[in-house]
Amino acid sequence: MTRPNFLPLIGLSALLASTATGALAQATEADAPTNPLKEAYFGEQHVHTGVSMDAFIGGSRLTPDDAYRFAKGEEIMVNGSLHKIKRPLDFVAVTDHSEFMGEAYSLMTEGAPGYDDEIAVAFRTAPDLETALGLYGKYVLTPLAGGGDPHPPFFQGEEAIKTTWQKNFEATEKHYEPGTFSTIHAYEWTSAPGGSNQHRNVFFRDTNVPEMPFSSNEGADPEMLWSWMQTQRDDGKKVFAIPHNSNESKGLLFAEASLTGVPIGQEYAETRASMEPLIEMMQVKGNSEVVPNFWPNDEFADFENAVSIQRFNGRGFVKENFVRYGLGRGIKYNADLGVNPFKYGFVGGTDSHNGTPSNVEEDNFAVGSHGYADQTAEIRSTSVLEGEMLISDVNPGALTAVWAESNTRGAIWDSMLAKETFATSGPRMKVRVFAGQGFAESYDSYDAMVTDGYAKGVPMGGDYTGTEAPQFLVWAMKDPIGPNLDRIQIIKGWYEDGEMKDTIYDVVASGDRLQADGSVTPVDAPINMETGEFDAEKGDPELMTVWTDPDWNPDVEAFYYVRVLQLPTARWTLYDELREGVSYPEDVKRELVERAWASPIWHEVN
Amino acid sequence: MLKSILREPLIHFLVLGGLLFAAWNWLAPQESAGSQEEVITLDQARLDHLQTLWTAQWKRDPSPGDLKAIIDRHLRQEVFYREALRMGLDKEDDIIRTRLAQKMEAVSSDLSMLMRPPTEEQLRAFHAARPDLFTLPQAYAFRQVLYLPAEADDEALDATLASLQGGGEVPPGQRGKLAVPTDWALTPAQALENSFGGGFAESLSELPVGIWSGPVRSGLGLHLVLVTENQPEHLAPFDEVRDFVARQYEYYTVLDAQEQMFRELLDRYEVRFEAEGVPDAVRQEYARP
Repeated sequence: MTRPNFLPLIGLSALLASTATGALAQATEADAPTNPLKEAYFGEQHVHTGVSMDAFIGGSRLTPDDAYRFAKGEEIMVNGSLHKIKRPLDFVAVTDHSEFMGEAYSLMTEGAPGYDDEIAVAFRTAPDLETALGLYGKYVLTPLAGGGDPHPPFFQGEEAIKTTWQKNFEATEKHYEPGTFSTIHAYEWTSAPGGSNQHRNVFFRDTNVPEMPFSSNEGADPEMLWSWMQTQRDDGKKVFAIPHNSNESKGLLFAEASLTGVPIGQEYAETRASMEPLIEMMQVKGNSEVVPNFWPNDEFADFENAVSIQRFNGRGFVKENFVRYGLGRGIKYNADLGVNPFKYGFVGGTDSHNGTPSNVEEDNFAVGSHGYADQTAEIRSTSVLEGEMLISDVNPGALTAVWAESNTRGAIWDSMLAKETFATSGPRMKVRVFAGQGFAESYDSYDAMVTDGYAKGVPMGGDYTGTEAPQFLVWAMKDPIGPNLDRIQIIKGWYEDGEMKDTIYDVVASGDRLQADGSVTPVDAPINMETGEFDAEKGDPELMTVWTDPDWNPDVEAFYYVRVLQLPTARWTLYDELREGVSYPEDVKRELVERAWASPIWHEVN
Repeated sequence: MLKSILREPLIHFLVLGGLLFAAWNWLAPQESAGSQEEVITLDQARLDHLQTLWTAQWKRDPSPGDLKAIIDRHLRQEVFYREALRMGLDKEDDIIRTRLAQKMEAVSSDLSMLMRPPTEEQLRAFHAARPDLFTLPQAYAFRQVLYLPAEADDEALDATLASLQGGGEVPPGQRGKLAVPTDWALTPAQALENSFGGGFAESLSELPVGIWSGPVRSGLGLHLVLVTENQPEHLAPFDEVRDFVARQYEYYTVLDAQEQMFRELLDRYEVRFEAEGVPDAVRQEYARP
């Protein structure tokens, strides 16, 4: 029997959810309801609280405890305003920086050693953006870029790090409600050598976590992180990592060589593939899928590209920054080395530094994501996120969805490891993909379709191993409170004759707009610029098709991932203009085509 | 020789220091009187407090070595603290001003924390005073059959509705459409709106209870609906939400306490703005009524 995500418990208001807490607090993972056909659980895998020193300096005082409450739908005081999300989340991982956890202890614990240090006091009392930015530059950005002491003078040493990590652990345990709300023990390893973003979020499957997280102060090279992770695994801990912001990596995330300059070999590739099942497709600081200059034939590539990133830290865009390139480079490595180091599934996050997980709604972006820097519409319309980008280029962030058998920490972690995940740019559309043989053109019920999908194919994140051209069973439904869907695309990338190539197929479009030649008549569904309302009539609430790759060659390595596009909606900038009376420069976008990206399915030649 | 001694910087320093010290004693004799006998007492309560703080910070009990360090630190701090006060170092120092102000703010938070655990009466009063926090929203329990816009022709809907009203089953092809369940337990209107969209929840208010009716429009399509329960908005009984009340009580008490204490303390002062460029809104906010 299906127990869909829609079941009332999940969608309940914070109030009702909390009334149920009494009973659920007793629940264990084993008691949580399960569904073998799996549900899509929506959550956040990348959020910072005041425990992250950069967030603290920027004005955030919320704790992991607050963040979990916010995720459950409670109203919380954020940067001076009470704020809440419209829909509670199903799961959250708080990912504070391991680099500053010791400092957080001194900053946030009154009476703790270091609390009254002059610099700690300055951090705590920074009255405005300008002061905060000065401190942020000196004590966060510079050390992260590899210059200067990684710790300010009030740092109290290892015990302080352990204490903070323990406090985060306790909050994560306190809020775990198996079957209803899952929390995951996690943190961010933050290395940015030379300003190239190499950050990884690190996730543990259960309560078996190390005494202290590994930080870039102990090792700024991802290989050192993986080596530490291997030690943890040898010790029986279950852990993986997720990189993010390849768009800020200066071409180094999908690398030709290790940071130490050694060309990538089989061992590196195997280690990376083992340690990093997923990549963060999009977040506040932009979408990392593609940009128009390198993918001119992708008519939907111009999406939250955060181009002003290039003005800072020499983080110019190169093709090698982007996920679609990385997937292609991965299959090229596979052909050369027999291992694909970039066999990434997709997740989305916010990287919010406000302690507000998945505050992703465009029409609810009232308090921003980075403390003082984007706190109000007035600030947002003119401000810069220091060392990063223009605030008008920021977006509220993305969302992760996992197909899991139950809403438990273990089941969600397992699905993430298996890459049965999709990312959305914020809305809660659902996507399912199976690659196999013998699917029906249509099914009597959703359950019948999913059952057949698993019986005859592999889900997103898997390997297609058939000998015939793969059939893709693709299904998507709209976000109930959003507009209808425009179309579903499959992006194929392959490696042939020494070259990496990719192309886009429109596989199904709403209103029978898919032409025989494969093109799609554009949907004319503009938003109302006076109110921000979307077109509620056009498009389809559900799209489904079975698509066969017409260009399949059994001897060619390929990846296939599904992209679902919804009808245009208003961007947060338009809501700011309509509600707050501010105005953004003319070239700032007021609308966007929100989307979902399903983890790829790979065809590997054996 | 005397001349060369008089040119020694060290001597200048000592003499100046001596003069300052004498002047200080003369200016503030009442404070220095009896300073030789001044007592620093470390009583059990104080030591326990220090130990508790230490344990809270480091998540373990202090070892004998730690204990020595705790006491050393306390005594050093106390001696320097008293001498600093004696010398008036607390006056016009920004760090100390800030720290004291923070301490005062913290005290107002602590006051609310000291009240924990709140009494039953306090919680009941809070429950009554904040119906906005404890009102259970309009909620519905129902069954539904979804037709996507493309398949929702009047004839099919009418036929299915008639069949359902006559006791017929939900047509197999329409079960679990879009993965939306047929049966819904009592669910708040807002959660329903989030799950269905398009004003669906509000439409339910107009439907009769116990009879298949519709179609009702949602963000997904058209629905035939059997409302089985229509529970109006009402204040949740205290006993059912006691834990939640306690949690909210704690949160809002901390939020309110600081603001309230600031306002009460502010009443003891008259704020005069002599500086230029103070916005009018600020002047008005701090003007006495």
